Amino acid sequence: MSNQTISTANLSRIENSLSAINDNINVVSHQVATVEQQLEDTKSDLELLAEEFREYVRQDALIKNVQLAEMRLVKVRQEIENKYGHYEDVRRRAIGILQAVDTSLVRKDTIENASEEQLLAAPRYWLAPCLIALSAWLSDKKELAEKAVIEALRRDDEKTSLFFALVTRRGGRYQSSRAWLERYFGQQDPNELKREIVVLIDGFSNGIFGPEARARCGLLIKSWLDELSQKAGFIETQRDQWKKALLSRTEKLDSAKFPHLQKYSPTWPELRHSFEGAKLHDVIFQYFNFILTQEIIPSKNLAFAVDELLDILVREFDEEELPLRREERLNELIIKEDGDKISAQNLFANEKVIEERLDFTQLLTNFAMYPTESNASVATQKLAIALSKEWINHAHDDLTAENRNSVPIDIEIELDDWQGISRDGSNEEELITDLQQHIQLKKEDALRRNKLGIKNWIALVAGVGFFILGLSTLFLFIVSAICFIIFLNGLMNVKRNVKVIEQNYEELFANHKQILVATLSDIVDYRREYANEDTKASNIRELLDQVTPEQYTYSTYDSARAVISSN
Amino acid sequence: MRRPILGLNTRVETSLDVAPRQQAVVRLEGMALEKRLRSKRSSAFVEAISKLDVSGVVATKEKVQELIDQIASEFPELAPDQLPLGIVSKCYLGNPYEVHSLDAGLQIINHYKRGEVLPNGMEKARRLAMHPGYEYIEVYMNMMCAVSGSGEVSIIKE
Repeated sequence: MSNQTISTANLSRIENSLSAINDNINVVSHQVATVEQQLEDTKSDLELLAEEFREYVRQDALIKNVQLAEMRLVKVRQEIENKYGHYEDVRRRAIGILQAVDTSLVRKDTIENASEEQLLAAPRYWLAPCLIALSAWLSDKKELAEKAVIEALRRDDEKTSLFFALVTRRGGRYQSSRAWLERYFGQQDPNELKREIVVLIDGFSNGIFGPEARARCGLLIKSWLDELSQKAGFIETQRDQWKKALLSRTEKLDSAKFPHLQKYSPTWPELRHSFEGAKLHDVIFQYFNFILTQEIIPSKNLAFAVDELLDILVREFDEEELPLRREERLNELIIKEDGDKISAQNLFANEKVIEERLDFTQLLTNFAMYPTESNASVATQKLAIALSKEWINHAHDDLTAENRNSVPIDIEIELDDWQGISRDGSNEEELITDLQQHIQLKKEDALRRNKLGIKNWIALVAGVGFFILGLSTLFLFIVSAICFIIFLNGLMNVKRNVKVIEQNYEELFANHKQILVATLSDIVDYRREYANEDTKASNIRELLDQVTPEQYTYSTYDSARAVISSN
Repeated sequence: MRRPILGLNTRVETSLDVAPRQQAVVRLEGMALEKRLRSKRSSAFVEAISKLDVSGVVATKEKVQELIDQIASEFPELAPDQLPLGIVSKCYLGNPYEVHSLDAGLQIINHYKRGEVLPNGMEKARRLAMHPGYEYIEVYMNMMCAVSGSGEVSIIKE
């Protein structure tokens, strides 16, 4: 065995190389940690991006739905115009003839010629022979008038009867008007009414008919309601109908409300649903209150009032147009619902506004809730609310109870993997303590996991082993030193990590505590605002209890009648 | 030849039956039952039920029976199995009590603390019972009737 001497220079070079290796290992370990961190960040960014992309796709689909609905709406309206546009001439002339007669500015033969042309232009339209009858009546040609009336009745008995009831009323021919009304009444079944009944109800509620006809109308409405009430399950059907109509007024909650609850409470969907339901009380109250307090501005005189009704009668209710009108309404709803097709379909299904035949109470619901679509005047809306108030109250009571029953008693809060429960936000201290304990446990767990890895212990054992062996062999002595350095490096990392872990968890607690306090504050606000909205439920009953149908049947033109009848 | 005079020998049989007759009771079902349950409760009944916990934590057997009899007399048209399973209302004994219930089946009045679950399907009425808008809640097999102080009824179906 030969003795070898190692110079000091050699050792110091080895030491330098070892420390360089150690530094490099440290650098690599830092880089690995950085890459790990970046990977985490990239993952969460990717999730965020995916979420944003999905939202973008949804929004894009909604926008496309709106654009498509707008295009279709234009197309449908054009189609209505093209197919039924020539009726428009007839319609305009009907009112034109009446007004021309008022002012005596047009010769009778001009009116006759114009009417005959219209009859040729619109072969199936009920209003064309009505015009012939009207002009024959003005020219005192009884036979022609009768022929034309028979033809008009053949084409559409109900509309013709209503048309002449109004025209004769306009001319102060009360007996004829009553006869035509009676003929119209005789054809009505309260289970299956056509939409133009609104013209009759409008005439009634706006005081256009004389006192006798008004009394007859009042009795008729009462008998219809009585007849319908006898039907089994009628009340329940009414209540459900009104429930749907009231629910259709629900407004979506502003997305900026209760931001922390939205983000950190799994209970949020139920909370939002309840809050929207509670806000509905005021929405409904404001809606009814607006209708009931709206001033009814009567027309200048009876002739104007009747002309308005005639205009609605001849313009709005042609069955031929119904399929297109339905399509038009559905597209209007899609636009109203910002492209949400399912929501629009539901609203459309519940509205039943554009049905061929409806029962009287469904019509009342439509007059009150969808006045524009059902062509109801303010007076008719008021009357419809007054006649339906009992069903409205019942429906609203049930909705209120359902809403109160849906309010979550306990509100969950979720911050990462910590969960807490609060009812009214008053248990702040308790929750903060619980959160602190939870984070403390997590910290302890992380500290426990922050220990020397198996490679460090192997390095230590190997270091000791090689050191013992290295006493006789220089090379092993060097390997032993490397092992010791690996071990010490691990030990230093563990110590450094302790500080980092403690600092991280301190920041986590401070951050979570802040969120928790903000969420509890949202809960306090939520409960307070909900209670405030909930108390408004009783306002609707108070408002409707004061309403009676008698209040809303006017006799605006009775004085005019007195003047006319004195001739 | 003599002609017989018609109807001369017709005798009217009259029998006086004095046996007690069972009065036919039509069982209300479906919408008719719902219509009956929706009708306004009598003020006497609402007042009696609102005093459920007047006797304190422990109610006497007689008191409970009296209340159960009152429920039956409020709904004379209903069959026994159609009567409420129980009645739940807000408890005024104070903390920790939240609600109390009259269990028609077990014939007991019980008070429940926060977090304590009501038995026999009456837990579903807790939320509404605690609402100040209702005097008490009647719990049925598949629905609840929330009754206000004036006796007006709102129905919540399941």
